[in-house]
Amino acid sequence: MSSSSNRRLLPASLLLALGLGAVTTRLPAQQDIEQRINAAIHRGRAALLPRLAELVEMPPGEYPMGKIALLLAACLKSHVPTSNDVVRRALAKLETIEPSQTYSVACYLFALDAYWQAFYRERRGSPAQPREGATSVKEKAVPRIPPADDPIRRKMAALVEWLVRGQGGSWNYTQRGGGDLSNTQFAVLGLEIALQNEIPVPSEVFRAVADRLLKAYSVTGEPVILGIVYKTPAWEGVTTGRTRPVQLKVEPGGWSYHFNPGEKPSANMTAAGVSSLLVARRALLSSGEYDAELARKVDRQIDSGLAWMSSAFQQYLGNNFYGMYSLEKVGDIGSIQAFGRIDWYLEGARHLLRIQQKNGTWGTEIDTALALLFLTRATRSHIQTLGPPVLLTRAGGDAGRSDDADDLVFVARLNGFVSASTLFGFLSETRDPAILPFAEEAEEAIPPHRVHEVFQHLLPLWTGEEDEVTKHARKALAKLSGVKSGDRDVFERLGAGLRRMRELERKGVGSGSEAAELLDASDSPLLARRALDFVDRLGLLEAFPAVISKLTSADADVRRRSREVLSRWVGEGGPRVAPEDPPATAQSAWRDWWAREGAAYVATRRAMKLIEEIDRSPDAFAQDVAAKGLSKLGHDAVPHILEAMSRGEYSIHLVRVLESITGKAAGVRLEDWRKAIGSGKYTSHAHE
Amino acid sequence: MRPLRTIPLATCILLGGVEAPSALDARERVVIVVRVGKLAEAEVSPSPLLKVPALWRLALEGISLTQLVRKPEQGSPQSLEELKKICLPLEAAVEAVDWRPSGPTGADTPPERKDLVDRFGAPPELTPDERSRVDALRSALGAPGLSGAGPAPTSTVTSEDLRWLSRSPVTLVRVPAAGGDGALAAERDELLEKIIVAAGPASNVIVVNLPERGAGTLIVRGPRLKKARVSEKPRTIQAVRGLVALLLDPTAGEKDPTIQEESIHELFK
Repeated sequence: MSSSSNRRLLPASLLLALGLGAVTTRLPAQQDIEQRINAAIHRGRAALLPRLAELVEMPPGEYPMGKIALLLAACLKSHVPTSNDVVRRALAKLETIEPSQTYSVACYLFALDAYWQAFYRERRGSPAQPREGATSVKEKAVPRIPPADDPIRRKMAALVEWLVRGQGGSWNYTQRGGGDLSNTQFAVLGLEIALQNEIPVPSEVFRAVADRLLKAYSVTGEPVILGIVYKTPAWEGVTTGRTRPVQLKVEPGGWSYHFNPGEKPSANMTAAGVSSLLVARRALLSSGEYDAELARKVDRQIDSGLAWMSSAFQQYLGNNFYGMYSLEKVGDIGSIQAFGRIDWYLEGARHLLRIQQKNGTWGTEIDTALALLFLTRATRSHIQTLGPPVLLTRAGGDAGRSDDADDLVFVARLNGFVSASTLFGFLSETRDPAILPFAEEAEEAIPPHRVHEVFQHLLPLWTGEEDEVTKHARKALAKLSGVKSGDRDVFERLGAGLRRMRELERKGVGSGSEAAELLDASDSPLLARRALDFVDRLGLLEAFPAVISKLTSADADVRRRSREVLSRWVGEGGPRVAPEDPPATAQSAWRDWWAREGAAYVATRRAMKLIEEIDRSPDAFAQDVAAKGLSKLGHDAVPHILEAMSRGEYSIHLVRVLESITGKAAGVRLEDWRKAIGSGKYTSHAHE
Repeated sequence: MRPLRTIPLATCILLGGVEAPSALDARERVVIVVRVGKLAEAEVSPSPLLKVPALWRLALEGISLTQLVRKPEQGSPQSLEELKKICLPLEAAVEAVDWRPSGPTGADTPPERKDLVDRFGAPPELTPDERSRVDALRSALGAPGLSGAGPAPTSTVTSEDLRWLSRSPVTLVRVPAAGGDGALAAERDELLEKIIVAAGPASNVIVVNLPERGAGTLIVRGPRLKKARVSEKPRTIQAVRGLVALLLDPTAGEKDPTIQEESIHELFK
């Protein structure tokens, strides 16, 4: 294998785990271990793939689904292409096996997730080495997770449904409920796959898992100082991620296989407990159900478990491949780089290099699969290891054809398009200030009519953590909205208002009362301008008082626009207000006018609008609807209808409306109608 | 160019039009119904509340010219000759027929078949089936009730009969009105309904209402014409001829400047 192909095999996260920066800064010794790890992965997968082929050909009696799926996941994580025949046959075989065991169902989920991730990885371009002139959004448009109508996702959803069936926060060999922590660990890791792939899981499942683990935990010793180095994901070419060392004084503790607090914790089960709590915490946080009381307990037990693992780190090595597999879950789900001074990945990888057999395996096919899953850091998603993809397009390229093209924004620093939601999601997850300049560009690249999306991206960044990311979100929201406030709720409401405004604009029809509410509720010139344009364009007279209220807005542009709207609506018939009159004077004049003339004015405008719709609309249904609306206005509408008829040519539907309102029949001639209404020449229908 | 057919009805005179190259679609014929004499007000200016549903529907589907004016000396054209001159652009193409007045109302009576063949080059002799249909139609429409006297029709005809009668590209129907009371107006409206159905939805149907006094109206429906509109602009009765000319040939206005003067183009979409 060439050096370049070796390099491609190396998980990018390894560099980060080593605390290194860009690829170009690697030192010879580090390159050496990279190459050795890559070679080990390559040899391991070369040994495992034929074994997978055998299992597919002749499935084992025990755990056929689980064993095939685990090996398949390990092969895919080791960069066996998705087009490989064995991979395809393994997937087909799995399809034929009925789910019946917790371990197996979880492993099947791992395999499906690994397959899609591999597919996504294969199809996304390398930001560092764009293929000249050949890349386009269209050909890169494989979404990061399988879309709803994809068979992979449907299968995943079915497996998740199998897992959540039952009750309680633990699993046995065949279903949810009772059981042991090992089955529970696998089931919860399966549900983690669901979360990653945005497959709904009832939050009560995670709450039950947390409750079950909280009760089963046991303290093993006096408080110790726990040192943990957290590490955020990297984005190649953008950020190497951030390290955050933490020191805590905690009591070490852990879990046993039978959830028995009286039993001594074991290495594997403590890792299983910590990883399960990490998953439950993430799920409950995202569903907004991670209350303070629960957080206090869960966070403390996670820290205790980490302290226990830190003190017993050597127990994860040896020939304990399940232990290493569990260690990797804790390390990568928890974004942990090191336990104290122990770089868990580096130590584990070195250990595996040492004990790899000459035939490339680590013993049984299960041990080999577990070793590969450790070396490849299988738990990390590609978004974690590679950052959001950069989609390069040619000028006038295919961005518009992509399903998620609306989400794409051009970032000049990356010389390409990125998914805004993925970019901001990444920033939200990592809170890495190195990404902020890219986020700023993305914010500016989103067009003004979709400014509500910027709000949606920025608001989650504004957390209780007073870091650079929160500061940026606060500052950007204030700048966008023109509102100076330290209250996040103000911007939350504004974002909701902008989103609603956009919905109304897209529909092209509007309720004046709703637009008025948006105008009234908004202290932001940004929303006020949008709402003013909207009510003006659609002539939503219900918003008249709200427009008057904006005459004294603190924003000069909003005041000016409000005056323009009112003047345009009323024309010469409005109050006499000079441009130089103070805002309060103008507002008072308009309020007086509205109290005096408002009702008649609204009736007139409505009638004129409906008459115009009847007269101009090419759609017979719309004409009919407008005619009915006009009829409902009653006698107030008659002068306006006659006025419209006097123009010489008019819609015959106006005649229908006149008949409906007056009950008279005077034919289609204006002159006859004037006589009929004036003199009573025509009698009502009843007299005909 | 030769006259095709003249089929008279007892109280309506149906004149053959012209077989000429025109802009008309194969199915898009022109049917002109001229109603003259003692018309009810609703027959001149229809309303959904009055009992002229066929005319009202036509007005809803087409465009109504409400001010069809004529000079006092013009009076109300009574003869076919006058109507042909007013309504048809190609005067030489239709030969005038001097119908023998007879019957209690003095309305025109049906000619002999031989006259049709001889004078208008009508199609060959009718088949027995066709003959029976025509007889039925004549029997129905020839009832004195339509002319304003005598009992109401005793039999009805189907639209198929009228369809058979309206194969010409241009058809002119004259409907003399002997009275404006509700029942007679309703009968004339029923006749109009039959003609409209027979003409089919793709045809141009022009209804010219010429009351004894006051301005007449023209209500026209066609695939190339505006829908559901009313025009109060005064036009002379010659507008009918201009309209027919433009329906037959969209470039007719270039050849005949009077058509432009009548603003017939405004009737088109």
